[in-house]
Amino acid sequence: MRLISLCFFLFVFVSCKKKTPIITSDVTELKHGILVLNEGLFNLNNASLSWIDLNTNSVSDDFFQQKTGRKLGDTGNDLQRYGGKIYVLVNVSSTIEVLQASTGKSIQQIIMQNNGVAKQPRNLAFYGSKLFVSCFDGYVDVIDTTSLQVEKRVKVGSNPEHMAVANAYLYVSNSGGLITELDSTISVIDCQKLMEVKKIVVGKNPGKIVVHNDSTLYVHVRGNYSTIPAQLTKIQFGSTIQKELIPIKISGMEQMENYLLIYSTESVSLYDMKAQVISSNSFISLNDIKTLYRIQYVDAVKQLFVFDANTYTNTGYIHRFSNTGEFIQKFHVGLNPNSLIYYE
Amino acid sequence: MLRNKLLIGFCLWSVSVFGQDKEKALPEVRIELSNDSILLSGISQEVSAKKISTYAPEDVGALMQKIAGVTLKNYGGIGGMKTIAYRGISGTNTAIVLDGFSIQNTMVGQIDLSNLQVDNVQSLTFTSAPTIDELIPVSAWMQGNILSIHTLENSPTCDTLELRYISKVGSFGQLENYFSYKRCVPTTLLSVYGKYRSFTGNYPFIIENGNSTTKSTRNNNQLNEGFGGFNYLKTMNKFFTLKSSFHFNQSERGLPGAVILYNETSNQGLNQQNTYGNIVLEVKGIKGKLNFYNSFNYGYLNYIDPSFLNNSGGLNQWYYNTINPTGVTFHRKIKDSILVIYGGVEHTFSSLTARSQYTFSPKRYHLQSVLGVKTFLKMISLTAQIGNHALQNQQGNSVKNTSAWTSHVQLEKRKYQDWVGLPRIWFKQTFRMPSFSELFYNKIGNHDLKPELALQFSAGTSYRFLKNLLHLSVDAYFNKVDNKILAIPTKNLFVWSILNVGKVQILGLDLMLRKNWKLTNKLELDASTNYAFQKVQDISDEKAISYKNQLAYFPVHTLQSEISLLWNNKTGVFISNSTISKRFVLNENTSSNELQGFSTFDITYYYKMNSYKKNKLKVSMTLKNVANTPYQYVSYFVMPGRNYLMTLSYAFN
Repeated sequence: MRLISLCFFLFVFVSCKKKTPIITSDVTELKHGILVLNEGLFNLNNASLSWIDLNTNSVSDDFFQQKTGRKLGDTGNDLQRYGGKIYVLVNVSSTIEVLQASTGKSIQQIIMQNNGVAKQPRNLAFYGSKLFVSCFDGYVDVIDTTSLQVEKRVKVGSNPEHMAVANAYLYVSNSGGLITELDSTISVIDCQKLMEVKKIVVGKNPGKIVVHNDSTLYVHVRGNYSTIPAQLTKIQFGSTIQKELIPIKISGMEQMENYLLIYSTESVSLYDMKAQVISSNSFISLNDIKTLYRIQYVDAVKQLFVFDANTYTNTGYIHRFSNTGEFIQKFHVGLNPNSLIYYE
Repeated sequence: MLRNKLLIGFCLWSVSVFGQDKEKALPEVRIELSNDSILLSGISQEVSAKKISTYAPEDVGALMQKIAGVTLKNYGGIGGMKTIAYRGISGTNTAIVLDGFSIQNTMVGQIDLSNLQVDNVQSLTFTSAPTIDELIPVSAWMQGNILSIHTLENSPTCDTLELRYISKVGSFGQLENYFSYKRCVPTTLLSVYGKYRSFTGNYPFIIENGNSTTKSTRNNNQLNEGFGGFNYLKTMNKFFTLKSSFHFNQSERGLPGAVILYNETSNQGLNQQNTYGNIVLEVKGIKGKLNFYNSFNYGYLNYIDPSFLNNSGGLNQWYYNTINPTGVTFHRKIKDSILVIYGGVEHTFSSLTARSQYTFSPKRYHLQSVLGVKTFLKMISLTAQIGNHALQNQQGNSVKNTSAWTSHVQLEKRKYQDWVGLPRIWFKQTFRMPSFSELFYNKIGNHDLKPELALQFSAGTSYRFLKNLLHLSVDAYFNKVDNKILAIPTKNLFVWSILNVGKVQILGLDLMLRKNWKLTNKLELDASTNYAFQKVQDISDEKAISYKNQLAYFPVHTLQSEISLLWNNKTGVFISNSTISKRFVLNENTSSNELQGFSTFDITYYYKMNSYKKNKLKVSMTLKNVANTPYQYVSYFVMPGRNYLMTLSYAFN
């Protein structure tokens, strides 16, 4: 019987000691590849960066840890390249990781806290030497891209999220995602004076903003996911501001030159912003996509990348399409991929 | 519909005619096993008060990990939420019965076991079989498993006066004081008890972050909690006994949440109150027993998050939960105790009132009926039980009826034989109704949810060796869960829905081994091991990448071992080990989702001083997590490192 007991102990100890090694990347120079931000899941500290090597089509899902020796944190929301730097926004950890664009090496971690309270950054935008960070606490932080210091906090509406820059103005969607009645406005910030100059009412829970020809905004107004449906609102600037509702089912959108890719769980439509008509109701096939999370258009290669969240709790895929909607290839990446940087 | 169910339910129990015999008192209905009843059994596992005091658990939740087949989710620290699953099936399929009455929570469907204290627990029994000796509420009989807790204050066997005082001092500001008074006269029992505990909870921890580790201190983990209650039992004559009890606990605690890398701010808090009142009229006869009972469960939960980024200075949400069961249960022996019929019917009203940014106030009417029969033949006993749960949900103008059936068949051998031991086999079909939160919470609640179904099949046997000194119990089982209720993101990561989409199959083995050595007249050694193997697989979607992967947070291997050395029945040393193999934080079994296994050791030394008249004093010292192992039951909910607990127990009886 002692032997049996001993066997149990050994069995269990053996089974719980070994940990499968994580495949890591030894890439030293970032080129001809794709850097992908995997959002991860809330409270699991499992946001990550995947590096896709387009020479070998191999994927390593632990790029950030391999470069920095530490984890990215909890809930990665945005990834953008600006100049020689990569900015990775991590929402729940309330940080912005700044990396060298050429190597991926860490330059600085910006802690986004205000008097010990997390600002909960959401999205990034750039103008001149300034990085704008929308923070869920009702501000847009202005960070100098050289010193990487927060220079100013600009008060906007409730729970600001997506931003877009046009004509030296920053347009900020105030979603009000954490308030019962939701916000309905877009804040307009003068990028030189660094102050809010006006608010435009667009509808409940505004999200992504696309600027066309510097004079037109397309805003994904998300409603309350229940009784108030999502809609696409067009805002035309001129002597007066004109608003127009475009009747189309929408859960997200992406700009592709003069087109808007408007997607829902069932289809991806193509909206011609010049002709102002829907030119295709089924631009790409979603047959192989389990959970369409986002679409990103990379102008440099004229290609579309569709992020498949694969039920949100399993690791996801990136599907690559031509700008005419033809499938090229797909990559298996990390948990909830949501944005990428393409390296030629 | 509901009226018909009521009629059927009434018929189920009213067919039993009670022949009250005025000459004899009721003998308890017991399974006759001669000396075999001390054998370990996979159907029923019991932890005694003596064992509980040596384990030194912080609450019933922590104690539950000693039960073979139980998977504990412990969110850390005293007052940290603790929930269980048994044999891969969620804890919502387990009834919690305190002194014969059900403790329920229809808001979330599952009881937080950290709210149940252990100082006054006389015995804790976890069983998968219908309990016939003790008439328990119909709602408990209907459940897949029953956790039955008997308290010292409710036990009618006592001296004329019994007093207890327990004081505990532990690491990280742990301070507890418990007092109880019990007085018995031949026909009356009156007892009261109270307890207060506090915990600073600021324990240090180490957490891995990539290639390095980070040291920090848990904050916002404080607890202040009070417990109290009374019991009153009155035997009016040889046929009628009135039993009543009242329990409450109230707490204020910080919610430290998961450790978030680079952001350790935590401000959330939880204030809670639970009140349980019960009254039962017990009617005894020579051939049976009949209980009329009424219970009242009331509780509120106040969640506070001052750092929530809304426009009103944070969250302050209130949830009021009321459950009021009324029922009757019976058992009756037929044909010289060869056959026992048991059953009952229970009507329950429950409601929830939410005062938060999302206001809702659903109501629910349940009608539960159960009828069972147990036969005691020469070599075997056979139990068969069937039950129905009819339910009506009301939210605003919406009314929805649901109904589900349960069944249980069990065959046990009554006489021990060397080559087969004492075999048993059982099959059970149970379900759990969706909770109020799953049905109605804000936009994610789904009014159309169906009951989650669980099928359980188990077979096992018990052996004894070495002149009854070594006991072995082995049970293998296969379970299947259908219509599993899961919350999943449907539109994006912030918009979730609750759906009946999950399917799980479970294949497992529980093995218990116990040996006792009387080394000398004064020295006794007792060793035991529980080992559980469980393959809990997600079979929801054949095309999913996680198909047939181990379900999140279920370890394949769990081992609980302990050795105790007792000298002269006065002083002893007790060493226990908990070993849990690796788990996965999500259903996809990748290395990045892996949560490391762990093994922790606790050691307790205790000394009982010589009794003076009726005064007894015992001191004990426990060192928990002796090796200072960093570990987590739930990812990033870190558990404390090495810590101590000193206990002083005084009893007068």
